[in-house]
Amino acid sequence: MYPESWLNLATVGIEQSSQPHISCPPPLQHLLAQWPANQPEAKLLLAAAGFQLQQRAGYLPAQDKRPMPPPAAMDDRPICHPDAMRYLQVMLSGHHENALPEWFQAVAQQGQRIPPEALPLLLDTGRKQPDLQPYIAPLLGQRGDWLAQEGRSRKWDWLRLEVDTVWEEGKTAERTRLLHRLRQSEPERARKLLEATWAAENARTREEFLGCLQLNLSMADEPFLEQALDDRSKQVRRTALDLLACLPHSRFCQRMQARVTPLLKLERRGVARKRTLCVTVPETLTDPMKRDGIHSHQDRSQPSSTVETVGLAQMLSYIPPAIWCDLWQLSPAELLQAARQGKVPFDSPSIWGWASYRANDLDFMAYLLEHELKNIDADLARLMAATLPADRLETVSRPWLQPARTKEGLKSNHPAIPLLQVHQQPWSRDLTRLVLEALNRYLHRDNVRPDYLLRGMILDFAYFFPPPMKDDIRQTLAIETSDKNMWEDWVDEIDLRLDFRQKMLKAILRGQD
Amino acid sequence: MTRLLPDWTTEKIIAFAPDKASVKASQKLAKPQKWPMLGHDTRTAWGAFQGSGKNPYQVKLDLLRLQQEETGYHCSCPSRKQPCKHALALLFILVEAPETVAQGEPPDFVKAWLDKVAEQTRKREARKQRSSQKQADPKQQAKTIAARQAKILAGLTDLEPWLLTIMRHGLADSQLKSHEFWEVKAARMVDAQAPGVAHWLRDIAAMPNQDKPAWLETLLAQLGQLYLLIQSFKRFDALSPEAQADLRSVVGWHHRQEEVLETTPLADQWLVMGRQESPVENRLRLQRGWLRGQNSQRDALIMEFAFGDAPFETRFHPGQWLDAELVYFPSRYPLRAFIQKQTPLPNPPRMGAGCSIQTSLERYAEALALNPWLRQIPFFLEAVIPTRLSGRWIVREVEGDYLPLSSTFGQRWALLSLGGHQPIQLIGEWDGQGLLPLGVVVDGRFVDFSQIGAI
Repeated sequence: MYPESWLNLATVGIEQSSQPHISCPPPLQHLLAQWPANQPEAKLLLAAAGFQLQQRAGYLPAQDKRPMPPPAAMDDRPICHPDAMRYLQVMLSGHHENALPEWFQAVAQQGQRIPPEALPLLLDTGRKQPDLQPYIAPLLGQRGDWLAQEGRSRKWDWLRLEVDTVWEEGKTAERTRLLHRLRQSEPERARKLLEATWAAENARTREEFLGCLQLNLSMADEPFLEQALDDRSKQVRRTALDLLACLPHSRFCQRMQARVTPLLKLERRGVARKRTLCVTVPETLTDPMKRDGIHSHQDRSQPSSTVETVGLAQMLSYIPPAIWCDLWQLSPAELLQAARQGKVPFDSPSIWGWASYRANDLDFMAYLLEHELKNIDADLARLMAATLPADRLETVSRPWLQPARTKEGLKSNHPAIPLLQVHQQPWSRDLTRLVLEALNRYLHRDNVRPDYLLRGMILDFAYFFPPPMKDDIRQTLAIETSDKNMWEDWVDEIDLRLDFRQKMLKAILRGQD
Repeated sequence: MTRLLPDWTTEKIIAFAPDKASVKASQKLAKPQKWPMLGHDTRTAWGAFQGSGKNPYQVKLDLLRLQQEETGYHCSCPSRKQPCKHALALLFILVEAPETVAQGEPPDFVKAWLDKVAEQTRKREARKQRSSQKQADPKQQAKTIAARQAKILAGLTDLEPWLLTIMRHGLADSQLKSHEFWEVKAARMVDAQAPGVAHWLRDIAAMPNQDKPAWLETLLAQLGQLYLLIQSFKRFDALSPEAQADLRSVVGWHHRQEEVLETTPLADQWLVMGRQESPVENRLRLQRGWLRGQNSQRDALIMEFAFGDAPFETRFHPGQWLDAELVYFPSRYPLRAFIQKQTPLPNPPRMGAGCSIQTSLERYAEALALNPWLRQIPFFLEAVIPTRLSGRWIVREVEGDYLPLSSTFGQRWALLSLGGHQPIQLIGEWDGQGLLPLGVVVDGRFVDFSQIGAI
């Protein structure tokens, strides 16, 4: 702003200057001339004040000579209601965050969009919380798309990735996300991308990237995966065979079938001529088997097991169970019954659990969860349950919550808990009622001890209870125990969550008026 | 049943609360069964809540005043947050479950509170009256004014040689970067009853980036203005009353409302153009509300102070219209005013048209010519496009004229997104160097930037 000579004078001080002369444009010069010449300090100060005023008052707008920038496309969806935005604000500031997906889904369902002033916030949220991206993306609209392009420097390009740039220059986490997203829309392209740089990746990234192929896996991926069975890294080989196991027509699965089929036989035995599964344990594990990942150690938990029985179980877990059902014309129930009858040397519900999970056999999984849940490890149950659609998941969960099976009430170690934990869609009234009644039985037992684990679980579930059931919940859980205070506080907390969601959904609906 | 607070909704209570934690806490308490006593009559609502104290907290709401957005609540709890969670909880109950609140005769504690409030109002009025009577005594008034003027002049005269010494030694002097250097003089200015100058000196001490060339320029400009102020104040008696008033504003010798009651108020329909809140010092907060009259096309600045968590007297909602009478404080370019009478406006007029960058700048030049101490005035720009020009953020017109955005503006991306590279109406403060957007109008929707900050 100020002339260079003034600034120099001001910096070193009048004292140091041999010729403290201030030259300035005419009107100011005229004013300064009226000031005594022997006060150069005052003159400099007055010149500074005057000049600054002159600059501010005489400000002339500069000209942007560029042609007008092309306007962003218009969105014609209505903007969601300001009240709905308030709930979003509350959640983004750290309260009831678990209800965020529900908010995004409800607004999208109403055909609404986010007001443009909130787009930067949501693009930032998507960048920081990748798991919310699939919920946020549909709401951003054309304006959001445009803004993400403008804001590449803020890493908002998660919305529309520059595939090649990210793949070649991005960090591992970014590249993993890219692969994952690309697998959704263009699975072929994603795999080709991976194949192109495969040799240059280190073992850890190879393993991580390979895992992305799980999404939209098809026989087109099989040659690549088969090749990966010879990888240097054990983890990569394991990931590859886990994926190949999901492709019943893969060479890997065919090999497994060829190995196991001669070892299994269905016979009718005994007076009742019951169907019995007879198993011959392989004499030894061959090298080709070992290449296919079958070289397990003895299972210490089962003293009777040998290296060979464990190997057989492993091989079985890579074969879709439907193969056996078709071969012998058995239902899943009959297959399990035959295995029990034959006292097979492996844990059949778990092995077929893994097999059905890998083959994505929903019917088989649903059968196992509904009837064999107690014999299946909780982690496997969770994996299987998460692949079932919401309505089937409810169907298999309900029997476990019936009064006969929840006499002791619902505890944190109840077998149905893993199923409920992965049910992250709005729950039906039926299921909610069953859970609450079971819970009530637990709370009304004598000497009930505070189960903090359960407390936390139910609070998480509360984000999926139907909000209109609020009053039923309070009635069902009318606590009359000695621990009244602790439980009452907890019922309040459940109530609060439902209340929040109910009002939030109402506020979103308000946008329709 | 008729609703007790027809204008209030759950969302409005959320906005009314001091923070989000209070909302959460109060929603937990908003269960009628938790309240041993709940009741209302036509004017008030009350409740008793057993908190952690020995006696239940007594919560009272003045429905009449709440309906007019005044601070009509009180609770006997010791919370420093206002409104407290108990008052908010009672509000939630009234709005969400009014049927659980029975009509009845107010208990004594409600009556006592109403009496106390009435008493306070009476005292305040009486004080106002007394002070205006005191003001009415011209001899006494002249004496007070002369005494203060002399005190300020003495203080400023003290500053003059100090300023000249700074210039003699040069701005490279390292002691200029120490806080104490300025603080000593700031304290002296407080003693001289010139808090405006004290504040100014503290601002200079707090200027960031002391190593950058821009700091030097700003420092020189500030010292120059300070010197100009001293020279002007020496000529105080020779100035017109309006010019005197402008000088008084700079040194922090503000006119009180009762001093200007005889000024004719200006009645108009006012658009609330923007609202800004900033900390002053010692937990004191300042609210600046900008208004523009629909018929008069006059701008007005309403300044209010509040201490700690206390709410401001007026709640401004930018984009809203007020039917109000404003009294301007004297100035060569009157801007600062207070609201004397205000009634709600049932049918707000259409948003008035703004003007071009060129016209707005001319307006600013005129304002500065009249009052060189003026820092900023509001701009209501009719059609500008928020965009970037070689890394700088600007708003430009279709023809190419542009203004740079103030470097302190924190919602550039929101502004860019609202514009979408198309012309929008924009309201902002211009200080001769940068434009600080306060709000925009897009598709008939008023967007207030002070609200976006909260997201």
